[in-house]
Amino acid sequence: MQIENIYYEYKDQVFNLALSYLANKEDAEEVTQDVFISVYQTAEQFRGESKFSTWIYRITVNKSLDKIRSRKRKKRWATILSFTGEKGETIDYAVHFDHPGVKMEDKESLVKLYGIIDSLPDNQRTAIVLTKFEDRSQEEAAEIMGITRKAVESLVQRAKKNLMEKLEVARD
Amino acid sequence: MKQETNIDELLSQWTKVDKVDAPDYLLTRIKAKIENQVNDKLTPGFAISFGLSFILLIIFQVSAIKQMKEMNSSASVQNEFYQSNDIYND
Repeated sequence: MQIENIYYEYKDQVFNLALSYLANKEDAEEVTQDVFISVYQTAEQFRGESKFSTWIYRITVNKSLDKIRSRKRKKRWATILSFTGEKGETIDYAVHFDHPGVKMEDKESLVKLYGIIDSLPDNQRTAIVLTKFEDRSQEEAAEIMGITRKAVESLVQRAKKNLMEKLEVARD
Repeated sequence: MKQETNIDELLSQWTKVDKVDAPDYLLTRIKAKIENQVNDKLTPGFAISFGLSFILLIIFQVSAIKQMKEMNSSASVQNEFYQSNDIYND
């Protein structure tokens, strides 16, 4: 299969999924690039145990989570540098939020939502992104995450409980 | 229960987000990166010839050092011979 064909078939799904995780156009573009390069390099290893689309989404989820981790590392490093008086690149989510699919009037509320989602553990975040933002069924999310449907359901419940607690803390 | 509804409402805000098209220029970048990686990769033939030439270089160096050592030792034997001859003559 040619890389062009794969790209044109999956580019929008990959890009939008990366945007749901990262809420930043530039980062989502980087992740999209990495995903297709990875698909090209490892296509021979695809054993057909799952659907090709599921495999691509799984790579996108992993690459997006890697990007988030590297962002958080940068943020931690910037905090350490600020203690030593040196300047580091800090990440302000209100500034960093650059989602081309968000209208100006909705930006404020979505930045808040994104900030809360960002504090969730990786697996809970993925369960929420796939089922609530990407509108996938729990079965599809389970297949992408490589877990059972029950486990996805439980992750969504735990994520909601976590979000409630965080909202309570934010209100106090 | 009310709080759970609040969370669902909060999460449903994401439905306001429109789906967007991935830019086509990404394909050009992806192709360029793939091409660069292919060019950067060592071909097995190149790796084997590089390894062989490295081994040959080491063998050549070792034999050169051995030869130098042998020449030095024969020179010192010759030297000792002349010295002992000088003592004898004295």
